[in-house]
Amino acid sequence: MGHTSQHIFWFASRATGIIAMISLAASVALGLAMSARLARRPGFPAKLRHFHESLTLVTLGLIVAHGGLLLFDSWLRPGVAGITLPFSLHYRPVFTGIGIIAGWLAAILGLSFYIRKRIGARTWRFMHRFTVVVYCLALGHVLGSGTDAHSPWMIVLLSALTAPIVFAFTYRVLPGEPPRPAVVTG
Amino acid sequence: MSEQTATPPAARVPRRRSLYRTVLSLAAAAIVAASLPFSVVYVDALSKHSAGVGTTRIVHSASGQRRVTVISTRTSGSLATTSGVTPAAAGPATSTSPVSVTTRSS
Repeated sequence: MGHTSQHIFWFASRATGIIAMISLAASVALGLAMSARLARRPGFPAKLRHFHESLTLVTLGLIVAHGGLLLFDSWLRPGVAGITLPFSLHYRPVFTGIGIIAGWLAAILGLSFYIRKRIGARTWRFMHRFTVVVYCLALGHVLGSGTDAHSPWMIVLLSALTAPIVFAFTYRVLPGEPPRPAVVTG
Repeated sequence: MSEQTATPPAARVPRRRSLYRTVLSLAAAAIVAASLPFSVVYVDALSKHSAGVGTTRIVHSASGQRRVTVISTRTSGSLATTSGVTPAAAGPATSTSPVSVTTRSS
């Protein structure tokens, strides 16, 4: 019991990290599916956009919780700098640094939606393309510094999360159908 | 009857393009998903290389030549590193003295 209570914040951080990864993957996959126009049913894209926005906010909250909970871990003792400045943490600095960069990028790209009018839709769309980079960095962070990275269930989970993203990304990048000619009515 | 069901050539091109797009996307997804477990091995090797697990180095100090062995253990993903120091003159067959390793098990 004492052992568990000693590492309770570490366990909680691990749990929020895993859920954040699932949430991030779902959000990125949804965004790619929308931009690749994989869902065409009337009214469905609007619902997906709403869900994508909500999921992104939840992901950001989970990322903050993942890093914030580590502040209270008596074994790691990262300090505020350790969880906010890339490559400053003594534990696996490269891979934790990659995770911190991913977190900051996720925050910038996710919250840029709310200043879209100010920065312009074109700039926002250009910025938003880099969300795939956030996922790649997060994946590297999990593989390199994740406690459960070697567990078979985690490898299966990561494969299951990554496959739809790669599918949607490739589908989005490859040339698709030519634009349909505008229908002239009347 | 067959004339009615036949797809016009103009519609065939986008359909074929859509099919190749789907097939290529599925193939890419399958390749990445299948290669992910191998990337764990690669990252692990990279981490071990940077940590220098089990490497023995000769260190010259004021008190003479000493052999330093880096011991890294990993319990449930946590890495604990410490070093054991023995006089180099003891020879390679001599093991390092026991050192306390702080690790964290889940």
